[in-house]
Amino acid sequence: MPDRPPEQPDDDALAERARDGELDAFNLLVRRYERRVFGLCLGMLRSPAAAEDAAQDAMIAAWRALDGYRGGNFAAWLMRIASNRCRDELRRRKRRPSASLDLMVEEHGDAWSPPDEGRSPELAALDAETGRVLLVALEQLPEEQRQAVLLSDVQGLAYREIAEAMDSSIGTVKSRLNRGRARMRQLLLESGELSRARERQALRERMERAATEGGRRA
Amino acid sequence: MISRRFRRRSARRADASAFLDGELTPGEREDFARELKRSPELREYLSDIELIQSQLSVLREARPSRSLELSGADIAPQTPRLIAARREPAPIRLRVAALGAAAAIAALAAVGLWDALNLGGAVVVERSVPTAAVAESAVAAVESEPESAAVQVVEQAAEQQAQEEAEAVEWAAAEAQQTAAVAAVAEEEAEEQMMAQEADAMEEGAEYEAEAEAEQAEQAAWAPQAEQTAAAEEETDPARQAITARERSMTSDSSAQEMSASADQAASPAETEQAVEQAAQQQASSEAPAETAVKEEAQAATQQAVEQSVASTEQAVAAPQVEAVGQSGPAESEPTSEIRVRQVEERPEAVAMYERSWETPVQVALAVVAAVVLVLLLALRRRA
Repeated sequence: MPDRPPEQPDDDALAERARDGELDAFNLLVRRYERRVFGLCLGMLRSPAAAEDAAQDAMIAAWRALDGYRGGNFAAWLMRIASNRCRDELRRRKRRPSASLDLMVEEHGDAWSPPDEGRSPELAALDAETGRVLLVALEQLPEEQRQAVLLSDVQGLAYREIAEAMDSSIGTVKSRLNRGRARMRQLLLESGELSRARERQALRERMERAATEGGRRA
Repeated sequence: MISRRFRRRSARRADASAFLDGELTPGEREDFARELKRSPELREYLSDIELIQSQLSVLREARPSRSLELSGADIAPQTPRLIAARREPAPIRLRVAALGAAAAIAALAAVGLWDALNLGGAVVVERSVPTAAVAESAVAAVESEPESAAVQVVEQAAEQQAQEEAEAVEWAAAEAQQTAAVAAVAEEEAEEQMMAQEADAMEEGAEYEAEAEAEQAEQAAWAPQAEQTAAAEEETDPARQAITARERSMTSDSSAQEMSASADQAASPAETEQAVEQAAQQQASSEAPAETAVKEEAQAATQQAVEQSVASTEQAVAAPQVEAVGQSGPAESEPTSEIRVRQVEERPEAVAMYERSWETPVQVALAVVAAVVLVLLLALRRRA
């Protein structure tokens, strides 16, 4: 959910202003949703550089397609555009496998890591490892299941919004989500990552608790 | 049994997923909670999915290394409304272009089909399509390299004109052959008509001779009795005598055949010979005009055909353009329906050449339509 102060105009009002050519209004919307769009693209493409390019392309495409936005759920509309961009990129990779240089670089150490944001180095390293494991598991899901899992569990969209973003029915979304999660669980169980993830989760909770108690003492 | 258990487990897992997302109705949630208490396997599954969900939340922290805000360089100078306004006419242009392309393809396909069905007379197709293609390539060449393209355009135009001239001469020769073939058929037709008339005349002569002989025999049988009766009547009735005298005078002047018949019946050989000569002269005088008329007719037709072929050859050589093909219409050398039937039966090659003179105007029309459509498409593309 976007963090938005109450005095900020809503999405539809900003979209209407942007439709009249006000780029600043559109950039407000970009700032509001860029992390979510990037997160979706990262989950779909795994490579941070490719995800940034796809997210930027999605923003430009959204600007050009603003006249087709009829109001309602701007987030779902924008996610739909970003999903389509990611799918285009995945198809391009399938046609030209040698083009995925970003993935090769990433597998040799240039992987995604979460931003620091004042966390302890141990906690940041823990999150980075968790993120890498999850991205590998997500990559093995079918495209539609991956998209549904990302939109639900990462972006926090409701079934109705996911259905709108994926241009499908709620029943289909429910089915894709259930299968995607079950498949991820199976993959993590088979690789032993699920038990390690449980350990990381417990360690993370302990570290957070210790950090909180240390802050109180200080 | 197993499949039912499997389906039930799958349904429970789907409910677990929806339960975590808060998408179950209150009734479904109560049912699921009861099921959760009963099944440790379901509790384990739900715990694993919950863990994965919480781990996935790490990806929410993902942030691009640069801002995704748009600048003036990222977007076109137009606003989205203007972009949409510019985009609105596009479907119309696309529709027109698609329609034109479809029409051109259909016209070319029709020409090709017509050509394939009509003994390969693809004269116009070979002329018109390369002309359009050369024009299109010339336009593209001029756009890309204006200086050297001008020379190429002139050379291509010269080659095209020379090719068209050669084709026109070939076509004129073929047309002359066609006209000569039609004239030959007409001459044969005239000869056969003449022979048929001769045969009819001979048949009629034989029938007439047989009838005359029968009549003479009948007259010979009834002659003594009739003469006696006539003599008696003439003696008694002066009016009857006058009528009989007039009939005899008319009969003596009637025809050569009757004279010949009476000569056969005559007593002296000199009279017989004289009558035969007279009959032969009369028959010759009656046949001579018919034969002369048929020969004159055939000669006139031959002369006309030769003149037409010469005129069309001169016309084709003087103006070797595509339009010259259309001038050789069927009206100039169109034979009668009887001759046409005979051509089909006896001279298929002549009929094939004759058919080419019919199909040419249609091919020209179709090729012109295709060329116009292609020019329209080029114009539309330039405007776009």
